[in-house]
Amino acid sequence: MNKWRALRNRCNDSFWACLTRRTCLESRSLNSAAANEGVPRPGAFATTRWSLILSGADSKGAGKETRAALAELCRIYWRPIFAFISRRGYSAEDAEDLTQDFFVMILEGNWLQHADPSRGRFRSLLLKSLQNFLNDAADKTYARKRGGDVSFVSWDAWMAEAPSQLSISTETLNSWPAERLFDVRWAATVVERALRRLREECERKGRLRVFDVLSAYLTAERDDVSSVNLATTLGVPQATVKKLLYHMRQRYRWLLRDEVAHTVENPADVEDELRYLCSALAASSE
Amino acid sequence: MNLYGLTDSHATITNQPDECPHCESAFRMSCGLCLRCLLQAGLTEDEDSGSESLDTLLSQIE
Repeated sequence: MNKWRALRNRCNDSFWACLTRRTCLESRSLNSAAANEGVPRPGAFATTRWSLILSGADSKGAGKETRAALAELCRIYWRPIFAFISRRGYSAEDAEDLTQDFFVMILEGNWLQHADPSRGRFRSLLLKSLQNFLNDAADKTYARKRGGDVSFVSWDAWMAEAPSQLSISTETLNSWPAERLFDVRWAATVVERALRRLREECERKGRLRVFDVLSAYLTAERDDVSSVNLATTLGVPQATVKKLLYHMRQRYRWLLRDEVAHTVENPADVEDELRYLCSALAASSE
Repeated sequence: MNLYGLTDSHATITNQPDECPHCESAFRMSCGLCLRCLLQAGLTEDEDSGSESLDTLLSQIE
């Protein structure tokens, strides 16, 4: 039996239930009205996962909803954690185990109560906690038996659910510091989720072909887009291609900002977080 | 350090970084789009798109 599957059988049922229900929170009403109606409502990110978690952490002992929201965020952002640990020099197997243990610490311990009250963003708080966790692990020389006592991550299921779309060079992987790779993976996760949601929306309307053809032009300059050729490919008038592309960009923008909004306490921080992630990827700082 | 074998990225490692002609970043998504440009798109000014949405438009295609 696969070792992760075997471990999963031993893990905490309630957490696992949160993690394996793919739409655990996505189907909830956090932003569903705006997200599903198809009409972009910029700035309408009233309650985010992170703000829900932080408000729940204020009360004595995190409630079920708070812990489910935290588990969902961890499920989404496991790749940056894993990439960071790997870059610190651990073997793939040890990195898997440490990722497991880190999530267990976050979810089964009282991480939220011990987190810095000034809080900040989920990304920066998680990275700081991960650095501390690895320092502790190094002190203990990580002598635990492989596999640990509890399993949080089902690698097979998670990778099957959301295979990474990021293309990264070996040179970058081997030369960039762990903190920057963490940010790159984080940025990729945000973008991947926005693209996936856009794709699913087109698919639900039976227009997957529209996504497949036009998504390649989401960031293209106006002069680089041949609406004549695209109209022929899609079998629709040129005017329709222009409208579709315009609205796809609008919708993508909204979905991207929605994804980021879930990781910050204040919706007003979305712009800053996006700017930070852009700067982390800047060629000039490579 | 050789990071080949990273559990979640062995299929996405490239030998030749393909720099974006616009921002020169070397991170690409599998669809070919530049990761940084895709992020930057979230910072563009929101134009008034009227009442028509992508959802509506997709429904109207013949």
